Amino acid sequence: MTVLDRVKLWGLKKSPWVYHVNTGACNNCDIEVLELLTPRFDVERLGVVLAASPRHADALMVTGVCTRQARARLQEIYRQAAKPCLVVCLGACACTGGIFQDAWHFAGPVDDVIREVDPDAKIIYIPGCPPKPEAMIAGIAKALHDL
Amino acid sequence: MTHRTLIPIGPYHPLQEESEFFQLYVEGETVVDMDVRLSYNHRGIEGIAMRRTWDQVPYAVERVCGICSGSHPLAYVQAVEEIAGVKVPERALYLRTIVNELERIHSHLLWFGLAGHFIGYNTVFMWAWRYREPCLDALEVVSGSRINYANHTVGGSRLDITPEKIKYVHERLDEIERPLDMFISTALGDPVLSLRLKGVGVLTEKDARRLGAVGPTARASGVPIDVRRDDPYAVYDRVDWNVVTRSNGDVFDKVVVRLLETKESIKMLRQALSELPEGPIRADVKEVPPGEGCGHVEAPRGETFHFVKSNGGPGPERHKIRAPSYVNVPTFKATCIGQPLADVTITLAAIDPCYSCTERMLVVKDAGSGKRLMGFNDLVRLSQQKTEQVRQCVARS
Amino acid sequence: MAEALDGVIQRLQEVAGSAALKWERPRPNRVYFAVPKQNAREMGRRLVEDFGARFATATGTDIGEELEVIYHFEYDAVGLVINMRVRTPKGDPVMPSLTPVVPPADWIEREMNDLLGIVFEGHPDPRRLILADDWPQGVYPLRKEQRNDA
Repeated sequence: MTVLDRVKLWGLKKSPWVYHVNTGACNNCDIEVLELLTPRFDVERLGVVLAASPRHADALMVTGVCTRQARARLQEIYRQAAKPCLVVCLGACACTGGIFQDAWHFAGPVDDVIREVDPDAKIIYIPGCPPKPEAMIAGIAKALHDL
Repeated sequence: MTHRTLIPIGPYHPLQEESEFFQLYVEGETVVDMDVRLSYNHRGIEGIAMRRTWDQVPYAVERVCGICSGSHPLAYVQAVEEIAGVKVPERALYLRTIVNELERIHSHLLWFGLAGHFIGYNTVFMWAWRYREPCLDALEVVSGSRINYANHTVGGSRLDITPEKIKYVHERLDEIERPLDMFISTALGDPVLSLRLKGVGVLTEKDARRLGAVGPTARASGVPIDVRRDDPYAVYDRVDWNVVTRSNGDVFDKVVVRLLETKESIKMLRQALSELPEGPIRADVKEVPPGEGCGHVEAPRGETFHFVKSNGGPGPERHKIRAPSYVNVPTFKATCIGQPLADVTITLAAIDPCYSCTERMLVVKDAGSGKRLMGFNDLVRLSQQKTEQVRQCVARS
Repeated sequence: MAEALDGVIQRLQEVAGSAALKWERPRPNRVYFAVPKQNAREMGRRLVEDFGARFATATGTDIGEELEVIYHFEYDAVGLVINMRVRTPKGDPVMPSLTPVVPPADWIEREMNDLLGIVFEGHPDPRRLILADDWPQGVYPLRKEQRNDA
């Protein structure tokens, strides 16, 4: 690993900038992600910040089943995201498709869609419907620790 | 020379020419037309429901929209109970009211926080969501989950409530009441909010009726419809409460309607919690005969309408789901036209569509006059800047 | 003095007239009737303009040989739901659009076109609404023959 790589990784671990992507979700996971910013959970004190653009993102927080309409866009966002980039599959829908696996508009699961673009993508899974905010924080903390 | 330009902006990829959710056509800085492309969130839930049994469907329809997670299952089970002629036990009717009014409070507070963020009152966002937490705690204690309560079943309720839990919910309501009163007096009394929101995004009563608008979107325009009063279900015809309406149809009135409704919800909850009768919480439903049923409830956003057709089998033959936003979002066309870009986010937010739907708002410009790219975040910034200008005006006067 | 439910239904039947057939009233505040498709648009107009109902939504169903659309209207003052059935043979899946006279029917007619392949003649904007841009033409997820297809 070069010095630059080490610095990038240190930056990612210390203060991950997270870009939220909804690929066709019921909003529960999305609302709980916003919850993380509010006083009770307050992830900003842990250095987690919501990024305004995928180009500034260290991590993509992906919710939703990845509908047929959202598929190409998800791949485009992944391409645009600065590397290294951690893909967080948040919620049952993003992990596996959940109850929507046999739906006619299902084009996921998210990890297959990402791996089509980058077979070596770093993907983590936080299951739940929705995962509780504590579970999301624990999942991200664990992932950052293991990076 | 003015010319129409279509400004494409996406939170995803600003440079791509593609149809995003909301497309706004502008002349100069004023919106002249609007189009919507659904599809991102289309998951085919009606199809899924039709491949499940009667008892499984509530868990699927809960996930139509997470915020209205109590309303969809209740509308569905009511439709089925209509077909099967089920008499739901009294205690269950009270439990249904309790869950759905808690849902209304959490949803309206969520909305109030987001609306605050869009116009640059980030403190409102933090406070509103902070005081939403007691409501979510109450829901977790009552149903087992902060969200996706899974409490409404065909024939009654899944989980009963104990005296300790009733006390707990009363205490959480105590926690919410004072901040809520503060939000209401802020909204009504703050001169900056008045200037910023009055006359913005007006939906006339005529348009509200013509377009079939429902919920606070309709009530703020003087259309006095509310399923809880018009076709009472659960115990809405037994508790004392008022339908809240206003008449200007602007964003300001929509804020006021939702905040005052939240107060009414607390009033209803206190009554329902205190008057809960003893008894079973579920009727035994052995089968659903052939037939058709309509179930509708007043979700936080307006009427949620479900239609169910049975052919006597183990699950629905057909299940139609219509969320309130489906009729309310088209009113955005009537309210955003003529608005400056800085008012577009709050005008859309005032209809209270799903947050993810709002995120996908974009303004598009044709090739020809050069690309102007403005994402959702830019539109929010414009909105916040305008509030700042208004604040400075008020401070100077 | 508020209108009573029975009076409202009587007025409804008068406004609907002879084109409304096979009346059913399974519950006091739920009525169903059928109209031949050529009368559908005029009936929709009467319901919203002459009678004063609000359009709620529509349900499209594949019932085998035919495709059925039930338009759901409501008269809020008495909590009445009015269900208007319109049918067409599958081999001729065309019926008049209500949208020109009932604006809130716009999206749901486009959706039924996507999911069932019903063509609503006279719809001012018959574009695809909810299926993806690359969804194949002619594949209708809610048709019985498609139902087993994921």
